[in-house]
Amino acid sequence: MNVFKVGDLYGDDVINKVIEYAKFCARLAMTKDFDIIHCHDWMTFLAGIEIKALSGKPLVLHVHSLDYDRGGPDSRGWVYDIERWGMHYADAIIPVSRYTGSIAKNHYDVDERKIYPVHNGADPVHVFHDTKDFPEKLVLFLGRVTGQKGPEYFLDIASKVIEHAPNSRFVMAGTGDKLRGLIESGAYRQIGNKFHFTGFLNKEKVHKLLSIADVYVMPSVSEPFGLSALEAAQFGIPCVISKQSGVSEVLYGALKADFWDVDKMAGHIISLLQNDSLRESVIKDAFRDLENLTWDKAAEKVADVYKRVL
Amino acid sequence: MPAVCFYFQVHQPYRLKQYSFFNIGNDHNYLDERLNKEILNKVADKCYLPANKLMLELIKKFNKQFRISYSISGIALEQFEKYRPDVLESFIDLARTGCVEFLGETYHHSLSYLYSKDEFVRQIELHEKKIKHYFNQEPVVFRNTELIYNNDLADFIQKMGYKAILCEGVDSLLQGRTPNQIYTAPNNKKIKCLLKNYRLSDDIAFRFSNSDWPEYPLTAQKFASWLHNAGNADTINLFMDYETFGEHQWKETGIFEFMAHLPEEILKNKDFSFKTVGEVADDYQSKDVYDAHATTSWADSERDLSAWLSNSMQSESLSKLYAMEEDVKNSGDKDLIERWARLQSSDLFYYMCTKYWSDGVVHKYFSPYNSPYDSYIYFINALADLEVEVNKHSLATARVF
Repeated sequence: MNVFKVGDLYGDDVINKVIEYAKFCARLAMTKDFDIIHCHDWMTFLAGIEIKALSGKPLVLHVHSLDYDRGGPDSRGWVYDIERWGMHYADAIIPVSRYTGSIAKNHYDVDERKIYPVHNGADPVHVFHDTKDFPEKLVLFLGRVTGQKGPEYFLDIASKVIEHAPNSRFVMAGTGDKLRGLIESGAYRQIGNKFHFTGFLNKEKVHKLLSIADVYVMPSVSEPFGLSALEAAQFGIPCVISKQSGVSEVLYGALKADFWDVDKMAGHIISLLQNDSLRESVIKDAFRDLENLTWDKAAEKVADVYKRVL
Repeated sequence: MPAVCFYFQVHQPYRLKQYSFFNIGNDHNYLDERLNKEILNKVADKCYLPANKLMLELIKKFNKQFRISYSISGIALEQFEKYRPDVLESFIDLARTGCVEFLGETYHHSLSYLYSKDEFVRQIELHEKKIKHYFNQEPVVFRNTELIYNNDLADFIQKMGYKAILCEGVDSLLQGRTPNQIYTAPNNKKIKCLLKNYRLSDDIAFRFSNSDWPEYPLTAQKFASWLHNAGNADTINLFMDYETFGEHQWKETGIFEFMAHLPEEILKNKDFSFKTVGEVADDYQSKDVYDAHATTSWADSERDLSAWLSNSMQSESLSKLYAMEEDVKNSGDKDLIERWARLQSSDLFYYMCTKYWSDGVVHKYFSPYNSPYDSYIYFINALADLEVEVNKHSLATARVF
């Protein structure tokens, strides 16, 4: 196991680590008694493939994210190959949303008859509300500042909202390869005093932001699920989310638009900032949605998938 | 009869703390007091005190023939008052010799000339008061922040009553002419322009300890011989940061010994003398016109404004800052005005510079932050806080009337 303790886990030699992991798990599995192989994402798919080949036991792949989400439709590297191989070889695929299931089908050519989407549940959180130290309404983006999360769209949306609703302030919390370009872009648009970058934040600071935010925005280009939107909803924050997200399938209490539809996204935000009755009803609907989104319910669905493959 | 004219810039900015989004609205002190104090103490011990001691000894040793000029920013003086009164005392001792002249500049070491003439004048007057208070001198020669200069500034400064102004001797504007004589501006013949001889100045300020430099090691004798052979010179203007002594060039490089021997070597040629900037302006006539249509400075290899104004973060920060001037001043709140003024120090914009290559190393050396992006974020967040405060003020006033 030493190979997993040296250096950066997802460093340049990650492929070697994935192979070593597969070998190790295969040896270990041969000493155990089990009925089903359940793997989460590409790092473990190779191990699952190896164990199925050796044991003949059914393979279930849980898909939280695909190379397509992270790298876009043109991403066709060895990670894509492993994902494709694994999903074709598996007996059942459990994507975290119908959206991700459709990517498996359309971009990986996986047989849709073995795709069983199971939505995530919401972890209970300690919800509290704080007061802001400034008069403006606060609109929040939380997540990695990478292409997948649509941070550039968030900046576009913010410019538009600030133009029409100057009494608003935006925070982009997180870090990633797009950060520096976005900082300069925000300055170029002359909204730096209203559009704030915090860099990476710990959980405490994230909760502090959630306790004061007025609107949560998730403009992801491709989001398998989007747990952060559920967390925001738990804090009673109305969400504006992209249609290209798994959470949009279960969070009815949210306003939605295509990630690229900046005008519509901006319109939704302005409506939520200015229309209290809309705001109240979105929040109320989201609370009702949350009641159904528990891990127990997700577990029951996973158990059903097991029954099918056994 | 050539003169050697030393002018030393003394400046320490108020560096900002790592002011995050979470500070906005609840933390109105933008300055990193601990860091500012720490740096001031370090530079006081490594540079200001030993350098002032040396200059005082040289003035006494050469029976007032050794004469020098300083420009000390208002915010550097404030920090001496607060953290190191001993440094301030040592400058006052120098002033008492009668061999030291103090220049005028903007109190906050700002770029206000480029954005607001009102603020520019306000800061010059504030600085004049401070110089008068401590050194009992009324500045007659002006140096704008980082030798930022153009024809209009020369005219403006002359009309404020100054007789001379300092500027960089930019090659493209000199077009082969010597920087070692007095020039005047094309639009105002009353002003005298003292041009920095950047080659000789930078031999001391930048190259002194560079062992890759063919002239390394630089001795006082060698440097004096270069001055003696400078041709038909009126004044050789050696302009540099005072922090050259002991801070940019460490004590171990021998910079203090070099300076200790330099006056003696220079005065070995009886034609040579030392003069302060004002004395140079009085003793020599301007011989030619120095035409600076575009704005120049002494910074970076470009000698232009790009150190402070070449990316969107810098231009947004500066334009937003000065756009607030009217509201800030109308508030009549001294504290608000002061906080606003402290955000004007040119250094804060210098830290945001993303030009890399050779000058980037220099920018990084001077910056207390990890990156230009961090510098911008701390600044713009602080500005957002100030804006919230100013808006509160305007609202309160609106309610009264």
